[in-house]
Amino acid sequence: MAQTRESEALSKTHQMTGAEFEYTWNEWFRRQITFWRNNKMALVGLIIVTTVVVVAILAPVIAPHDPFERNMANRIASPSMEHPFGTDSIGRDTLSRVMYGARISLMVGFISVGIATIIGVPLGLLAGYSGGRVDSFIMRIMDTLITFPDIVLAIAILAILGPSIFNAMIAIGIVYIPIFARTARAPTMGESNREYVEAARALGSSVSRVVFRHVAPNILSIVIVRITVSFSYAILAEAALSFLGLSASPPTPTWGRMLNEGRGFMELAPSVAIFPGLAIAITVLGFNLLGDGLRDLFDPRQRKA
Amino acid sequence: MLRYIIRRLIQAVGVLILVSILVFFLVRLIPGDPIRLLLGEDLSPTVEQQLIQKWGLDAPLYEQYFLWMFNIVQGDFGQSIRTQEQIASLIGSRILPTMMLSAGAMLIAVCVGIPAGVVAAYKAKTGWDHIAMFFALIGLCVPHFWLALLLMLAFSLNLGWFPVSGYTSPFVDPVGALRHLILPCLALGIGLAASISRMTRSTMLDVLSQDYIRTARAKGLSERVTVFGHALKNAMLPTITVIGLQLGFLLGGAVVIEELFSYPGIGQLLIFAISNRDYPLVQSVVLVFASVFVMINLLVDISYAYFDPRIRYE
Repeated sequence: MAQTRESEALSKTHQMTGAEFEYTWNEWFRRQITFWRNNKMALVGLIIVTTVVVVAILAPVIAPHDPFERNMANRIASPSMEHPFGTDSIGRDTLSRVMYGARISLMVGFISVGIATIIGVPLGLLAGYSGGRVDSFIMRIMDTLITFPDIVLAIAILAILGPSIFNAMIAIGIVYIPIFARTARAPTMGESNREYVEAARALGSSVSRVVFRHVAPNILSIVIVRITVSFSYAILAEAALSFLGLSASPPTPTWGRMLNEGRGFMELAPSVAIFPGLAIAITVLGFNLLGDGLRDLFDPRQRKA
Repeated sequence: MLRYIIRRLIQAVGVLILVSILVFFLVRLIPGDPIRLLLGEDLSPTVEQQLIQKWGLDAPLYEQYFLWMFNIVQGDFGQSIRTQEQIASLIGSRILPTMMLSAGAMLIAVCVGIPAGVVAAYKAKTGWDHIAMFFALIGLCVPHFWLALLLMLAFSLNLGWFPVSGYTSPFVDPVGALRHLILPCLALGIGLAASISRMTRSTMLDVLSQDYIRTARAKGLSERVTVFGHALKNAMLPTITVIGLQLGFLLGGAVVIEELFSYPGIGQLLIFAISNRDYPLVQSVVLVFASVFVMINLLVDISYAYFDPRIRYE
């Protein structure tokens, strides 16, 4: 009898949690809609980022021309119906090249921010959780890395690895490791003193289990915001590097390289110097707005009054 | 205060030593024999042996490092491999142009950014605020080298107001020097103005809602005194930090802008060194960049402690 009552009570709690879960799920969905409706800027960011991603994925389908096809008879042409963004110095279609350039920019953002996250966040977690000597050792190295202006460090790394798109991604990734280490460290220090961490430790969990299973999920939202904003920095950095000729080699269409190739002809055809730059600016704007929006979404305290 | 300065100074020296180790070994990481890499494959073994001895490459790495540091502390950065010039004098001749560029950009950034931020905060939620913050957002997202191209296109190529590129020494022709400086400074300064104005706005908003501002208003002080005397003074602290830290980014941005405007500064020297695989020069220039950045950080920290005594006793 007592047993049945207990199991009844237990199943009741289960039902309740089930219902609660459903409720929060609906609630979550409703909150999302209200949030994005109320945060017009964040919504604009989301739309821009989505558009850039879609264009990058569908570039081979939607690009009106082959981005590598030369047409010397129609070089540095002004925008027209045939070539909405004009053509470059060897007659390639600028619109198609801008579309394919989105692939490079996003790939660079993805891989370099990925490198920085995968190395930087565990370092920050370890530093923040351990404290003491481990903390100062890791953070002194990070301070040293952050001592170089980002482009200068990236250039120095590229000087060693040799200029290529792959090495540019590695260089940018290394440059942003300290930012992710710092981002992860600060909240980890706070979380490490909380009761649930102490409880996990008391139950005999190993350090890595406590850090990755218990602390890490709690700093996830901060890291996600950082990832989003860092995308814009990485895209800007790659554009600067490829503008200097230290990233992808020709004829790969990258926005920075297109600007560099166009600058000699911009008096004749301003379009070659305008559209790739516009693409960079809009993409960076998108990631910035989205990052700001996500910060507000995850941390209502920071929402502007 | 003195104790704080000394402590920060020791920390800065520590970071600089780490930086120098990093820079030294970074170049040693380049795969292959440095001499063959620098002077080509067709090198007679005797010459190679001589060079190895001359540059001390047969010594253990740590000895090479100490010798290198020992010379640098005495102002001897060694020789450029491409131009055979002394690196110290190569860098020395380019410090002034880069300083003028950075100072000009910073001047524009401060003169535009701070008033814009103050107005935006004072007139928060009005049209002024929205306009200022709209431009600040644009300024943050526009890559400075693209802005430079657009400025060049508009003011040099189309209007012909400024030279497209190059540099004139201010000692030879001050007006010409200024004409060469304006576009690169604008290209670098506008992005900076954007982040300074955002920072000024948010700290000003914070300060304007404080009790002592209400007190100042309540006791009948004029708005001018309240805003400029009481609010702005307190809002300047975080803004100074941002300005100081942005100086480092300014140096990074200067690399691209100098290359674009064929402006003979340290940034252009770095690009020259890298495209010519002049590793001793790369090493030295990177070290100079890092040292300047460490020094700026130190000054920012000290000035911050000066303005806010709480920091000293942390």
